[in-house]
Amino acid sequence: MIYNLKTNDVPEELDYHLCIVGGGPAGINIAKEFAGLKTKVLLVESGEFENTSEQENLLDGKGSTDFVEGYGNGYLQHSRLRFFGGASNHWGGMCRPLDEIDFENRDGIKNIGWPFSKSMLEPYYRKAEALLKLGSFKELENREYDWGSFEASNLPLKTPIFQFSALNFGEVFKEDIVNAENIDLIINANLTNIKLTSYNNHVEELVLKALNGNQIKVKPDLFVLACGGIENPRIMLNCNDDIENGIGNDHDLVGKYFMEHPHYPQSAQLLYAENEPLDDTPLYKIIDWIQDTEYATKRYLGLGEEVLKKEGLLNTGFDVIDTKDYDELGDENSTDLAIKHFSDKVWNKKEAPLNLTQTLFLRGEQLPKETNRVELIDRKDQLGLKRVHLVYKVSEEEIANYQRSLEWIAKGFGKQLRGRLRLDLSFDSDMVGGAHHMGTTRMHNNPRKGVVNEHCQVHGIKNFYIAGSSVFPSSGFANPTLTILALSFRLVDHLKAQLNHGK
Amino acid sequence: MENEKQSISRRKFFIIIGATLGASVIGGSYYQNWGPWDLLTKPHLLENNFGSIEKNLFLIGKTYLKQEGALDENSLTQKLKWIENELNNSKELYESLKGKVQSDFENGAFVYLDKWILAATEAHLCGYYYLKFG
Repeated sequence: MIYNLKTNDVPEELDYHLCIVGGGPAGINIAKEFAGLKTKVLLVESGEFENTSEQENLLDGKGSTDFVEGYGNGYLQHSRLRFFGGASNHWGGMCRPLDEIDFENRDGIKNIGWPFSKSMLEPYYRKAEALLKLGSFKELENREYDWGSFEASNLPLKTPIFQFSALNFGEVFKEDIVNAENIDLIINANLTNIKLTSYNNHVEELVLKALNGNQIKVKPDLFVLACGGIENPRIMLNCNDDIENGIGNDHDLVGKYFMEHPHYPQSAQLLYAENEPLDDTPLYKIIDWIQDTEYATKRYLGLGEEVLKKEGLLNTGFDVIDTKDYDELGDENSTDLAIKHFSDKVWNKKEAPLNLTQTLFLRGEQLPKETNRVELIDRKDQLGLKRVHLVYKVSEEEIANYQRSLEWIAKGFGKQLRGRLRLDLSFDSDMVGGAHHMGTTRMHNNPRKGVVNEHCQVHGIKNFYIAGSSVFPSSGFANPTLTILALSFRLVDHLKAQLNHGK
Repeated sequence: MENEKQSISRRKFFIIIGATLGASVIGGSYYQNWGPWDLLTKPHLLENNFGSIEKNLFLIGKTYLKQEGALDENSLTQKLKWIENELNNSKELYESLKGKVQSDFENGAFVYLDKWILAATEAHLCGYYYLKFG
């Protein structure tokens, strides 16, 4: 059944076994996994089935960095969607699981690592792959990259794989949700308050409000907040009737440790030989999407886990794009061309001169830092909730770390006299983000270090769970959706166990 | 001090000439490849290898020398001592240079030059070449 809080007569109070707030990929996935079961589920969507300007207005806030302003002063709005399907209405479809190292604590990198290893999440990654109609990453990554005559075996280089899915969760699963007898969907319903029981350890009631003022209360046995990496902390910080600092914020962590995936489209130029046959060009098969199986795959360039650990490097991936001829490097009097001619001579590239340049498009992992954060400002939206201020900056420490990764690529090509690198990355380089909002309700089993535990349960509040990338304690460089879905499948198992236990 | 330098140069000269003559007796015609008389860098070896791209070497060398932290002539001379010590002909220089470049990359001995990552040996060679012939 679909309720519309704006227009329909909706009972003033509703009881559900499970209430999921947020109709994006995580929320929809969790809801549909309960279809046909005895569990009574309410899925709450703040928007409708199309984008509306009044919903977009709710996303407005304040950004404080060049990066945020770089989105046309609208990062908070442009990087999010507030209608059924959520971010899957505009996602780029790039899919990849996190790497094993992304789950690990790493020497020299503070606050990084998950409370469990990747193997814990593997079965759920398989489910997420099936949902998105992707091939098995495990199987695909076992296929060695053919480097041709480039001797990569003793280099720290790897070629991580991405797959593509354009699944629009709103369109694909709307019917499943609506037709499930045990699931209700309510649209135009914005979560404006979370009421706790007197001991502040249990969510008793959720207040949902439409922009026209209609309001209802929901009493859930279990509650999942799945509104994204900016809205999740915003709601928790705004709900301060029972606890002054906001719900789940006993240790002042909610909203902190915001992470993005900084994208530097022009991080470096790689000058190398275009060998004959072309297949023998080391990065030839990285450049494009390849349909060499029933799945389209795209490889990136990256560094092996051993060197990442040894050198304390962030896990960073490089897309290889934008092929140019060498003479586009500069004019005859430029050092660029001088270095090209010199390299050809010294490296004896008469047969295969260094004539090809590729741009390395960097996608970086970030250091989880509490200074990057979502906080509230006094300006309120139409619902009376305080808007957010996103305080965010890529640090010089991170830039230096990315530079060191690029130097390892320069090493790999240089020691074989196969290519050399011009590093264009600096603190002033143009940077965009991936619209990936992570870390703001981070996962850690110690309540002093994380907002949720390994089951995505908010510390100290038994029936309150969080889904989505806000729980990521570290981010790797992979797009987050596949991991969001894997985590949501894992959460479904936990919720089912809790509900069965309760009965 | 000048006399001391001249004395060292003279001593080097005789050592190398001796070695070269020895080598030429044993191995043939290397003797005639020796040019006058920069004993350290054997300029003809450089010219044989890089003469056709001299302009490029000058530009790289000049840019390198302008950089903060660039080695001065004495230090460059020390760094490139391997040319004097090990090499007898253009081919040897060429192969040895390639090996040094590879080893620099292997060991992370980089020099940044206009954002390019060069093996330190390359930057030193170009800098020295510019100082000598630029």
